[in-house]
Amino acid sequence: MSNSVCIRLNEIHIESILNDHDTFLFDCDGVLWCSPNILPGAIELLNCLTKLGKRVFFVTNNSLKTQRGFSQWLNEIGYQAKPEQIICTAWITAQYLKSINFKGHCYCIGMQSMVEELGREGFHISDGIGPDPVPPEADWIETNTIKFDDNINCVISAFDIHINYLKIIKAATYLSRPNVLFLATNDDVTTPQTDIAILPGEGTILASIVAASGRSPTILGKPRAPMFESIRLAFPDVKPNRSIMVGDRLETDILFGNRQGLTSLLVFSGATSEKKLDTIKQAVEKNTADKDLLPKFCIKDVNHLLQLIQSREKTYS
Amino acid sequence: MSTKELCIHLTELHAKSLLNDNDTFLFDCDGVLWNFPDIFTGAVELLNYLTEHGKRLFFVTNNSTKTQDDYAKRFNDIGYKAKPEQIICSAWLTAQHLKSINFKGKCYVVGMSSMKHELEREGFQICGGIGPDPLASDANAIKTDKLELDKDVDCVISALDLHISYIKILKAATYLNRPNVLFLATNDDASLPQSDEIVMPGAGSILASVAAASCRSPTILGKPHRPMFDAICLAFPDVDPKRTVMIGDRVETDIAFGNRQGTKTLLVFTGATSEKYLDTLKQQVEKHTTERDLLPNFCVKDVGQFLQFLKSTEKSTS
Repeated sequence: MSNSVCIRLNEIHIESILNDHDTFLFDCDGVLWCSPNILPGAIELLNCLTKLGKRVFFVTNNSLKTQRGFSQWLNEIGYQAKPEQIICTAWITAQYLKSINFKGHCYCIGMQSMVEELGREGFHISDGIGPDPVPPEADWIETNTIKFDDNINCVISAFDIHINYLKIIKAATYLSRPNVLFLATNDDVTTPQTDIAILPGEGTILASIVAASGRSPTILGKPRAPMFESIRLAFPDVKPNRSIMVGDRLETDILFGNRQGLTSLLVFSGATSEKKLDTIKQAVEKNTADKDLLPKFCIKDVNHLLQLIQSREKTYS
Repeated sequence: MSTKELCIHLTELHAKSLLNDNDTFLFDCDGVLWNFPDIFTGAVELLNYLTEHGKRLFFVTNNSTKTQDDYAKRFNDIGYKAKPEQIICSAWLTAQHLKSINFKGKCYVVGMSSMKHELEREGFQICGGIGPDPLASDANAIKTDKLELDKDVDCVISALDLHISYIKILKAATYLNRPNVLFLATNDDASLPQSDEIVMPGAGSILASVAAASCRSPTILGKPHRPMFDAICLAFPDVDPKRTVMIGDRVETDIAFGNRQGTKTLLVFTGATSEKYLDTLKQQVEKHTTERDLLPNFCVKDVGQFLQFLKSTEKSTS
């Protein structure tokens, strides 16, 4: 089993990578850039693939991104992206609500990106965005001073740097009422970290709401299906067995790719080192880890993938 | 699995046996004696009754927002003369635990001023985490170069914190990512007892975010874990679990705690657990899908009724 996974991508594979795949899905953080630096070869690779007639999507759990903002930024750094190529969790949340014909108001623990994407589909966020301060001297919360909206029938958990006790009260209280939907953009516990600090991710915020409410959300982001389902809905000719997922994180990107039936390609420029991959490989062999965590292929970084493609192009030119 | 000898509805006869066969009574507070500021009918009278009958009383609470002195004062104000050493609260317990492991170093404490008070009482140094640590209200990103991180943190403690914030979770997780940093939690109750329909997140909710961000599991000190009982036995070595009753309202903490320490357990229905929920649990235990330790020996409507049964037995034997 483990012989046909974790294959180091090199010249002998590049032919089938290009011939057998029409669609390339890229995770972003740790693959195309390590904030704030765009990784060498990243933009050239995207342009190269597009020139070769490949379809490119950006599949990111980062709930701060919008289709509009992210595509605009990609254009600024040299890749002509269209908004519909951006598959981000704020947009997915709006698509999900649309797909279930949701009617009502949302309490959304999140940031402006959620307002923008939900607003585009006509969904109203009543509360939860931005600061909701607890008085600095407070040693108790007077619950009869809290304003609740009786029309809220959905609670959404996303990334929120203004998370606080009052917001968790509100989310958990709404979730204790009958027929209130509970969604989460994703459950990554940390965002790509710096050397200075661990940056808590959406999953950290979600954990506090899950604990307080005793409820489990429907989670939309990788590794779960909705992101690929939404691509197929918008682009029905995208086929999983002719698509390749390029990512840096096993439990989101690679698991996502494998579960949706895509070819998975791990890069070592982000969250996963070669050593970590070896550890997981051993765990899979001992049946203590899911085999779907292992990528089909792995490569140092996108620059090496670009070089392989360019070498092949030279051979054929 | 037979549950015949569990969840027995208390009668006068049982109340008399509980009084005769036990020297020590442990009380949870929230949902048992009060939903503060409402003191339950008969609560203070019960405490005084048991004390007059020579019983030893302790108050065993996971609530980390009050000190031993705070609770002692509250009891005295409502008519029961409590001594601070009767109060086994999680803030005090945390200090005792650090003392017992001969801890040296600085603590980052995600908690309220009660934690600061109890830890500093035992000479422990706190390097942040108490009270607000806010972002600017118009902030939409974290400036990691502006973070003030202490170089020498040796312990991170997670408690209930009304001032929990993204920055505090970030700091706790960052410290916990360093080598040899201890991780303690006062308790992991998911929510607080509430009489209205509003859900108040407990220490467990705060802990969930710190544990998720750090990918670490803490040593949890409060009920249902051992340390509270160990602290009582350390100070009062003649306390015998076989002659002790634990009275509480929450099966996952109070009743599991009492059962696991070998005490008798008495559940009241004035707090977190309804009769209906207890019935459901009983069925689950019979089907082996839930732990037997969650079921109390006895249950009673409230502490007032327990008192009435005790007083009736006295009348009938006088």
